[in-house]
Amino acid sequence: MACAQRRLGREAMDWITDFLSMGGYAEFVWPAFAVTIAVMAALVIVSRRALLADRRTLESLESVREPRRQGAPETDEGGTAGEA
Amino acid sequence: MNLHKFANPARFVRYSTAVFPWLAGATAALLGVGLIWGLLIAPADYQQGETVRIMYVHVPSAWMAMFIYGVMAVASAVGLIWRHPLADLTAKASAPIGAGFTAVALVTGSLWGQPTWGTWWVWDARLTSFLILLFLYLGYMALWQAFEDPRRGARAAAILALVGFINVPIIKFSVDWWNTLHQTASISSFQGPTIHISILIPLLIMGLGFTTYYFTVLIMRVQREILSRKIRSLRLFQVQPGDGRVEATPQRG
Repeated sequence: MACAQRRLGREAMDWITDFLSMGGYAEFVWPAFAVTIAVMAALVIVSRRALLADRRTLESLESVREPRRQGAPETDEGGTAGEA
Repeated sequence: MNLHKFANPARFVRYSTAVFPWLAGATAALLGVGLIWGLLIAPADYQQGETVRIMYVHVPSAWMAMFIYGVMAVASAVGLIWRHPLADLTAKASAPIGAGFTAVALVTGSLWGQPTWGTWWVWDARLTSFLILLFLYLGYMALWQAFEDPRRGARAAAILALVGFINVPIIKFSVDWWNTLHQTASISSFQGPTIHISILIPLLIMGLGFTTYYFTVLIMRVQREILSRKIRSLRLFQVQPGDGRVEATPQRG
């Protein structure tokens, strides 16, 4: 019983080392995947942070000019903001 | 016009916010399935062995690098011709994503080239034109920053994006026009895909996942650009406080 379990464990270990070695090409395959995931993750993090930061800035700016909030929160400024 | 309605920034924010969670979910699912399929289920190549798995990140990155440049060029043209603020912002927001994928395609290609060709880099037509694509992206991003007036920056960058578009067909057909170390197309050739279905399916799943990823990140970046413009104009009004009515009526150009 214990022997069979040990064999199963060894087989799993073998399979994992086999998988990680990538047929001897681990040094090429894994960096390729790592670089891809790193760049894609970094783009998400940077973009999300910038969006949230701007959202906070806008909230604090808008709370300053509280009286006219009802006016037009998005439609008016969104399109022409760059031309102001 | 439907497209015009969508091009209104406020409406864009509303629609894109509604779509965002679905797009993000689809991206996570597709990339998860694609990675597991590509790394574990798909077979190794009979000649290349396990290095062929690099294809599952290299090829979709290269597709996206070119696709995003196409989006950028179209958006730039729309921005130049119809002066659509959202078009300029879409082009601007796309550039860093495209540059990222271009860099990934170059690095993963190099990592694939060493074991299969015996070299990290050659100055063949495909690799060289792809390197130029990276410089075009970087130049585009730099141009936006080079002008104090964002409208002038947008124009200059849009012209660069359009002129640089000539490079995209050159990249695509470089492998047919010149003798390149890089192989010719095996998915989008006239005879249909020439790779086996068992590696084609995970490749297409990854390609789809990369596409939804692009649109997911694009939504975040365009929304951020819209907010930035709003913040800039609000600050301008706060510097010169009017009688209270000025705030609600930003001047139109």
